[in-house]
Amino acid sequence: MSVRSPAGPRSSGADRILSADQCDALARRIFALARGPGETRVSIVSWWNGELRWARNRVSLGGDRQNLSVFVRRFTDVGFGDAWTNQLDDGALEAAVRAAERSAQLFGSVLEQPTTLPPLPPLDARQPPVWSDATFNLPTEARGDMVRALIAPAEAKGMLSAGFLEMHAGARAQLSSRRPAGPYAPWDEPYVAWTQAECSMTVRNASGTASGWAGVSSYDWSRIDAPGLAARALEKCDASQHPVALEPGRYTVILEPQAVADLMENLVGTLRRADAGTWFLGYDDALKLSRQKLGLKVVDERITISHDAMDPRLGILNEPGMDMGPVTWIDHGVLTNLGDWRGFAVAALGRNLGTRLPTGYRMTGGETSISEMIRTTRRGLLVTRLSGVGLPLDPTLVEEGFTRDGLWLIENGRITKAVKNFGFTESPLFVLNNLEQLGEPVPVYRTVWDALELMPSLDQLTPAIVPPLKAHDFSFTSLIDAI
Amino acid sequence: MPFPPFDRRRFVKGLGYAIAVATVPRPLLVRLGRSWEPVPPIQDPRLKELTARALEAARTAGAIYADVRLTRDRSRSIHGGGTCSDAENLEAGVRALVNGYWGFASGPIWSPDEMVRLGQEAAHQARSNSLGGSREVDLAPRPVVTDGHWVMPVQHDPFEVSPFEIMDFLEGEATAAARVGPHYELRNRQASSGWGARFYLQAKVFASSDGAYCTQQLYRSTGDVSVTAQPPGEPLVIRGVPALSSAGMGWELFTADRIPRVRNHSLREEIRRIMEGIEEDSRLPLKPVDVGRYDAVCSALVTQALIFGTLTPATELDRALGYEANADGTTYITDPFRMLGTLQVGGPLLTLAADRSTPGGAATVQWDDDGVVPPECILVKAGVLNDFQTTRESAGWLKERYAALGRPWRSNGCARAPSAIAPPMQFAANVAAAPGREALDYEDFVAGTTKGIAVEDIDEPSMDFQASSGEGHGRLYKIERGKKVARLFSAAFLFHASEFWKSLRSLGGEASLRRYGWEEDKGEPEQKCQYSLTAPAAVVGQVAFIERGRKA
Amino acid sequence: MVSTRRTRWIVALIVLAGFRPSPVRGQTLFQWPDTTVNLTRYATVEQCLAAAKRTQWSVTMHTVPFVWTDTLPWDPHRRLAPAPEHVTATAARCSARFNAATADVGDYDEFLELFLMADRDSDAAALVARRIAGARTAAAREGVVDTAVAVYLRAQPVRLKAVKELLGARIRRLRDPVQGLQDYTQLLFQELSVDDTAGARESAEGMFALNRGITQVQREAIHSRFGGGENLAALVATYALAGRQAVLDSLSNSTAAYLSFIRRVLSVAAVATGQRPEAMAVPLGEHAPTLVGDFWFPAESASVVRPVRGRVTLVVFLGPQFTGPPEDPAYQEGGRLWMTQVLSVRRLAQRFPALQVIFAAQTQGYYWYDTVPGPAQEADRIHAAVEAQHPPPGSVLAVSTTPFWRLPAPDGRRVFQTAVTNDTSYAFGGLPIGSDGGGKVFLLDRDGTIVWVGPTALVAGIPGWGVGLDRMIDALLRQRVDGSRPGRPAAPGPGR
Repeated sequence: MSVRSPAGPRSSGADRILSADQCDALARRIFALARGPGETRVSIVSWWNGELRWARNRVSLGGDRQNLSVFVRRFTDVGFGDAWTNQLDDGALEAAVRAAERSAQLFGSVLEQPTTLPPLPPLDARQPPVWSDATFNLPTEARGDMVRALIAPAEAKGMLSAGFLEMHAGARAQLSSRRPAGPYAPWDEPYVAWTQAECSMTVRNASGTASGWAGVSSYDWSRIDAPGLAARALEKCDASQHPVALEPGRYTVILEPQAVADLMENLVGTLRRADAGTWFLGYDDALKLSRQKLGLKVVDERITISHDAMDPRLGILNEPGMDMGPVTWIDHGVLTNLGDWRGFAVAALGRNLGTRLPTGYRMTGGETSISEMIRTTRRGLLVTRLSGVGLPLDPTLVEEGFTRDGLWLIENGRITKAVKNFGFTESPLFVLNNLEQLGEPVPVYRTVWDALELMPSLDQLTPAIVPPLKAHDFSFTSLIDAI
Repeated sequence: MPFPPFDRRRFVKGLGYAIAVATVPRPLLVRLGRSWEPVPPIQDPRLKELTARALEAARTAGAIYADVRLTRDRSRSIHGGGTCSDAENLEAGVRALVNGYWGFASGPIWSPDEMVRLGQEAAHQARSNSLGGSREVDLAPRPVVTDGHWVMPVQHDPFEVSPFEIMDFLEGEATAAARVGPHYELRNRQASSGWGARFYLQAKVFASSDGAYCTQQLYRSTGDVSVTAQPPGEPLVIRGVPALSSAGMGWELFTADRIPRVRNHSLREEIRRIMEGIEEDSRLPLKPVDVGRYDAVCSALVTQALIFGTLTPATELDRALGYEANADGTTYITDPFRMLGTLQVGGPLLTLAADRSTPGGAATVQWDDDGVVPPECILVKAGVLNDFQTTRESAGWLKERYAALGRPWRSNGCARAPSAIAPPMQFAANVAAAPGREALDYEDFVAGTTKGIAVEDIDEPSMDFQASSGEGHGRLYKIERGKKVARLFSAAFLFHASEFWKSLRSLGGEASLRRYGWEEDKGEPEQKCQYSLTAPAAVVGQVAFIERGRKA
Repeated sequence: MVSTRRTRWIVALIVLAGFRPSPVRGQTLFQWPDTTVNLTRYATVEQCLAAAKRTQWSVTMHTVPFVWTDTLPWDPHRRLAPAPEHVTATAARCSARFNAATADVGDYDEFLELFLMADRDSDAAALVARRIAGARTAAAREGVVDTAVAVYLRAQPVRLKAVKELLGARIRRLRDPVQGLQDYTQLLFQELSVDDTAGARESAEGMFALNRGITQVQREAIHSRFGGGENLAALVATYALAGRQAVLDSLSNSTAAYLSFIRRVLSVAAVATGQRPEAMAVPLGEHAPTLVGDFWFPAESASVVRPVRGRVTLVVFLGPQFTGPPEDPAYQEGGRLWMTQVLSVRRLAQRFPALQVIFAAQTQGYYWYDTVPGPAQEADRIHAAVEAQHPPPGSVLAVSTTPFWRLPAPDGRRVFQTAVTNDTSYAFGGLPIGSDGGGKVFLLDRDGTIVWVGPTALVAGIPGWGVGLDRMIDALLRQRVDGSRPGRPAAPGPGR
């Protein structure tokens, strides 16, 4: 990447995030500023966002923003101290290093315990697909043109379109001034840069009595069919006019892939065995599929939840200390793996790498299309997506939330009416055990976590490929007015 | 002219002084004329020159209006483990208006070249979007402040207090808390580690192309503190300390003997009362709830939480008009223009005001991010929707309605961005519910209830995407004949915003008012800003209580 | 009077010296406030204590993480050393606003701690006296004495004189042999820890004097309160009466001499405590049974009968907590304690390369929701856990497997069925090792005779019952195998 261009409007290819060389040079400057012996650790995160937001059929804001964060940790003989800044000039970096040293001297945090972990094995050299030039280089004008094309159909029909289009790029590197034997000090994380694109929109009618939504996210803009999304959102809004109120109760549901992903969040979030640092909660209290269920069948045998970091649609960031090979957490319904942090894996499992959590995942499906599912439903509901899904209430992962942006009644194989939204109380475990049919898995909308937080976060990409499904006895517990 | 005789002693002394000066760590120097000065503080006029460059660049690139924000954010985080870490960041952001379309650009560099780049980029962004259909932007007028400076008044600048003193004070409170009982501790809010205290100072410049220029220094302090109790063999109890929620205050948030409307006594006493509450609770039996409708006696904290979930978002005009439809959603005020002044959103007891001037408020400023001095406005008057939270742009949408109502056309000053990196948008102001007339408080309400349920503390209510229906759960107690007789487990209450606020039976008096800090998450991508909510205790009639997590 | 020209010249020099060009731009500064604290402004005793403890930590943090004191020659004067000046000054400045007459007695223990840190001993004593005087019941009064004694013992330097006064007064006041024995025992240990041999003798004598007059009922009450610990206390008192050097001299002479010396002294103690010497259940003089194991690490060490004849041996029984899984919260809490034991044994062995160390452990399954590993796997895990803590080179680990029964899911807890052979054979008529949740350490001479036994927990740091485990090992090593007189004592000093 080229050196930052000092002036003028953004041209594609201008320096928006730091390159590996720049991060390296910056780290060296910081190491050189350190006074006294002791390790220096540096974490450098830089990001850029090109965004376009619209509402009521007009762009409300087009923006281009970027920022970075430099985190410095200085170790002295008595402890360590931290400081953050986003300025890269000598004075600022020196002031930050002094602040960290001052903090270390004055407060002497507990030194790190000597690690009982063996050295990290060599990092997996394969780079998962997380960078797309299409995303990074999409010019501002192209974004504007695209959005106008997305709005036009809704406006033509007298509807109101609101939405968000975002191109994001980030880069992260962690370096330590101490290089023990082996390619990486435990703190080191090699430089990685990634992109993320998202496009979502909500179309509502003028009176606010109908609403449709569609959206998808991917690291690669060229994989996003924005006009298709716009058409779908419009179609859903159209079809949701004049919703009727139904009695809450148990229904057979056809969940579109987005709804499935929304429901699954709590499930994939709990596929972990032990959290470093949360031992005090007691594993009985932690709402996780505990290890006693390993090897047991927990969901329908048609479900396999797995991840392959090298899959072009599922790239996530390389995590040192984690096994970056393919992993299957649920294999034909059987719980086969739980995410483990590395310390646990070394101590209890005799492995030198941890097992990943399903931050990104693929869920197997089947071959039944949604229309086929509708055709074979005597009475049921078609759900676009779920909103406001809270944390699970108990170890069976019962959660509460609402349907949103499109809910239809199916009677005798056909969609008959638009239905007012429901609140639901249901568990993904139960749903996956009450499966009737599954469709083809597709990528869904799942945004970058901590996109604009300035601390490095490992889970920067969360792609998911999820099928639509039909399940029976889904519990809808209340009727809501919200549209 | 020959030099005077060389005085070795004086030379060495002078040299020594020079060396001393050279080696003392000091900030970067800037040259002005012949002398060297430290880098300008936020009130320095040279920053005006920086912003002028950005405005000029935007104007040259076609913007009819532009504004610039420069922010310098400092934060200090102190923890019970004995750590103190600082963060310091600079940000700059430019907004430009071209043909009714906004463009925005931001970055971390304060320099003349970067100002030009940002100005041009902002205009470029706006222009790229303006090629479509036309768009109207009518910015509500405001007086132009050409040289305003404001520093939020605090008693103790937390950045001037020795971190040791802060640690000793909080460590002392933790020790005192632990002495109450062997299983009590002061921890952070998630109870995952020790207590924490965080302080923020934002020094901010606002400049606009119509000549406004003002600087502000805004403080914010918060305690990441909870009281935890783990009696042997029982589950962990975690209770937050709402008196330490975000406030526009300094170190006095912790040390003051009392803070009107936040706590009427010292922090130690406040914590002691929380522990007393935990003790009392453990003496009450746990019972399931009898599903049904009851009078709900709400503490001030709960009243705030319910306003937070319903009225605050509902009265944000941008949200009401669908500008958040793709994010959090819309509001139940579905036709804002018609409903302004007519829609009954609550009972006659409900009067809600918004301001950004309350001393100690987490949203308190002198000027908002449009350069407006936020007025106090009445959002709800005796139950009727009276006004909206607006920015200059969204106030523009109300121009005709205000005229019809005979009101001045002005912004309510809610434009805000957490830092200059983000574009300003509508964020909540400090919201305050007026108290009732009689001097009653939460305990009085409990004592005066024959049969009902006391709702003492709830998590953030789970709201639907129109901020209308929601569910509240947390610490609920069964009231029988004026006393709390049982804790209710797995209980929740359902509410529908308009029905709920119309069922207000009584409101606590002035003395029951409490003001705590809340965080609003809004926008795409998500941004967070803090604001204060003030509310009294309340009794709401006929609220539906259900078993939580019960399936159909 | 400096002329203006000279001034200008000097100023120019200063300015030039300070010259540093810089770009015009914003910059972050990380300014720091004046960190001196106005201690006199602190309003509460907790704040003052926090400040004093913070000062203490900042003074000691340059030494504590780096100097392991547990196997250095035990320094009895460590507890008598004065606190660092800064700490005293901080405590004194902060506590100046409090005085003994008006301080809130509800927080008397905190004030006591603060006054002691500030070297205000007379104020401390006055406050304690005031609190005792205000105690309404006898139980409350004794509670105050206990608390005050605990604070005095935590102080640096330790306030042993005040403790002696308080406990002595209580012994005289109550005339209760049960409480008196407890108080004398506490005094005895404290005096031994600061090498106050005269004081220790006095306490030992007081203890035996008390013992002479007790009834059988009282003896049973003592036993139920101390659970057998009263015998160990008597043993220590015996050592105190006998004198440390005499014990060590006899041991370095020969084990037989040591045993007969100890038995002589023990018989005195036994008479005084009304017990038969043999019934004191301390297996000194017994021959250490052969250690068995289903798995040995290294594997070839199984071929030799252990303990090996001809070597001074330390047999370390690792308690069950030691071998739990690392993610078990009990391990996190208690496991770290055991971790330091292995490390301490290592450092001990570094000073005495001739010492043979044998670790004995047993498998036990997990209290955890995990698939239960087979015995070989579990033995491997135990081995890995011990290895991770750097045991002495040349040490061996013997793991015995034990059958167990698991409660049904989801509880899954392991229920012991039988104790393993080692635990029973080393019990010598008492409860099996580990049944109390802890392990034990046995010190054996070259012939395999047990000369000392104690809880594993006390390997680190504590000067083993006033004599010093390291000194006993040293004495054993100096025993001549041919029965001739012992050689010169090893020079004292830091571990090799």
